[in-house]
Amino acid sequence: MLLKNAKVINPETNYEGEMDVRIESGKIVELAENIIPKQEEVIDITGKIIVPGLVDMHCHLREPGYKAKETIKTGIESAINGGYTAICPMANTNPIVDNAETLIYTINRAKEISSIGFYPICAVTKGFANEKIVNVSELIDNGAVAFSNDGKPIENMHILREALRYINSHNSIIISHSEDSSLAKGGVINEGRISSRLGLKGISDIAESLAVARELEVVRSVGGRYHFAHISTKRAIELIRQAKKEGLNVTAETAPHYFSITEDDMTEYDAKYKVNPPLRTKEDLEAVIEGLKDGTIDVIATDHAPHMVHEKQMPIQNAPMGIAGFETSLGLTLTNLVHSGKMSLMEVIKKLTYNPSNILNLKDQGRIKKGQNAYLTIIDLNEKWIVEESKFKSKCRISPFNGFNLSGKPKMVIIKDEIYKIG
Amino acid sequence: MENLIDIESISKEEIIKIIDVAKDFKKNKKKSDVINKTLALMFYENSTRTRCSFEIAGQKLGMNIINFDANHSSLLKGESLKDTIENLYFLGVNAVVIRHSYSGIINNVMRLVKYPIKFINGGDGTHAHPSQALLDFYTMLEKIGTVENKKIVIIGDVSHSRVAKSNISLLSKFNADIHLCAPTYLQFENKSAYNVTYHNDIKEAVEGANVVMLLRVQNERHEDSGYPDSLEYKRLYETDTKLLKEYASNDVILMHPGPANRNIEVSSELLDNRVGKTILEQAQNGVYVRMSILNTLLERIGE
Repeated sequence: MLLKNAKVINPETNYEGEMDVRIESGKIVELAENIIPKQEEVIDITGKIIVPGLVDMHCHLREPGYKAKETIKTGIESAINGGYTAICPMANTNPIVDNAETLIYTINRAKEISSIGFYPICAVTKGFANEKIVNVSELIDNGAVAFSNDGKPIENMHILREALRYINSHNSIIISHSEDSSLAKGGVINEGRISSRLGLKGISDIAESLAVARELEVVRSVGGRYHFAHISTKRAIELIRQAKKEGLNVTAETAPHYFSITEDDMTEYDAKYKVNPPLRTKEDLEAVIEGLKDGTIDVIATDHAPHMVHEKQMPIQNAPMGIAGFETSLGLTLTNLVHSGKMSLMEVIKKLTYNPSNILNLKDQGRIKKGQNAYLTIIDLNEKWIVEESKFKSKCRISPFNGFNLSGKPKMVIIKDEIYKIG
Repeated sequence: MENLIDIESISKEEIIKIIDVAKDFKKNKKKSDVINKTLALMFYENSTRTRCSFEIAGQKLGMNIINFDANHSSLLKGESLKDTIENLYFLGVNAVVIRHSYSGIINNVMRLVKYPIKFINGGDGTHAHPSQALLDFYTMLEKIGTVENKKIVIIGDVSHSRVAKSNISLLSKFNADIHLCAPTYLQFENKSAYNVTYHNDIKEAVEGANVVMLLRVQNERHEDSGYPDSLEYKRLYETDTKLLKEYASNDVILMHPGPANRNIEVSSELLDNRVGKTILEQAQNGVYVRMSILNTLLERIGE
């Protein structure tokens, strides 16, 4: 297969230029200008760009346990439709992925469906309880790439400290859902002007920043690598920025909804906007963008968290938290960060590909290099499109972004020798 | 006006019309335009006066009233509120009054119901209680003629009070000088939510007040809050005759949406004397205001 006339963006080497790419038996065998076609499939991608396949280090696929919300199959189809070649499902399924059997089940299920890079994140503690750390080495040997109790914060600092030491000793990483539950409990939206007016229980911004501050102290005391998931507040970003300056080995991610919409969009009690952490203020949104620009936030991850449509139509107090993120992530990112002039294409692609791959040590993902397995995404940077939730491949066909006009769309995903065209 | 969900979504002119029509009903100068239309009362939270008030208002207008028994309804069998309301519409119900402990429940269900039934908010969580604000406004106008630049002090559990919020919204539209008085833990989490003056000190708040509106301390909404008990509140915020005499304006009117906690937010003595009688007149005006709301919403239905 020969990809011709494309502009290649490769954040690992900061390369941006015209280049043809030849793929044989699922591997990149040649990268050069003006490669002469042999007897092979030639795909002309004039006017589009080739980037390393997008890597999502934070998503929820709901299988096993909640297959009515999403399955590994529909989750993978949705991810590919959003331009992703690698996904890292979180462990909060039923059973929780805190044991090798469940881990192996998910990996095998994914293999039956596609060659997509499927890199599960396992629980830090058994059953997400504050009791026992999981069998870290066994899980790593069976394919775990990181550890997280995402969805349920670890609030026992003794357990967190022991887990951090042990997991780091195996060269792996903890991904933190930073939240102080005494401040977040029962909350529905961000605590502030809107929650006061609507009469909804709020989740204050310090529910996040306080947990971040506490965890940074743990990292400071024992060292090692640590990653903060879905950062949404100005204050948490300031704390992480300061910690990085002081040399702590921490990284952070945010999700597209935190730089696209705010609590101001929530006046109609519509649970399609209900997400944890909640949509924050305009000031927080600007701080998220600032954090992305100055490198405090390393990664853009989807936090794809699908639920059934009727669940998201329930009264906002009862509806579950989460936004389906795969299929709008790239469009929102290109529209709100690149086309708006806030960041360069190279910086943004780096946060969608190379950085998450690097944090999790994913082989061949997030890079374009001769000799590696081919994981590539082809993007039309300027295609204008309208988000239609009814066309999602995800089972979660309800989105706060339905009807949004976006610029920039994934057009094709190459996973080894499989080609997926995106409509 | 299509529905009555909150004060923010109706205009000043619509409010004035409701007040004018209520006056005509009170003076017996207006006839019902909604005879034989059907109203369902769906109360998922306890209520005495709002429910009775809507029921009497509907009866005076010659409407059919269904007292939907929320505690024995098929909602307990898992039917959604949307399905229940769509069924009621096909049974011939023209409007529903909903009271519920969830803020925004009506905004939510309105988005889902596909048929033109009318919605009236009878109090939703800590969001809004628009018919109460309208009857409070009616009573203020009756007693002091205008609210413009009048000092109106709302004392009590403002952060959990849908009555306070709807009153603030309404009185803001008519340029009243609004003051809120509460201990810190019963004030709004975010003070920029409304453009009002905040007080911790009740004497300072009541100084020169034309209207003192008391709110019930809503213990049922304070679960796991860690707040001090109501005796701590009483020490600092109980309103009595002496307080009003010493600090408020001479012609001050006392209001309370009820039910009152005697000798907690208001002294029993004050409640039972001449000043306290306004509270009962408030309740009486509620019937005329709700007649006006029902008539206004439903007069054109079925034409």
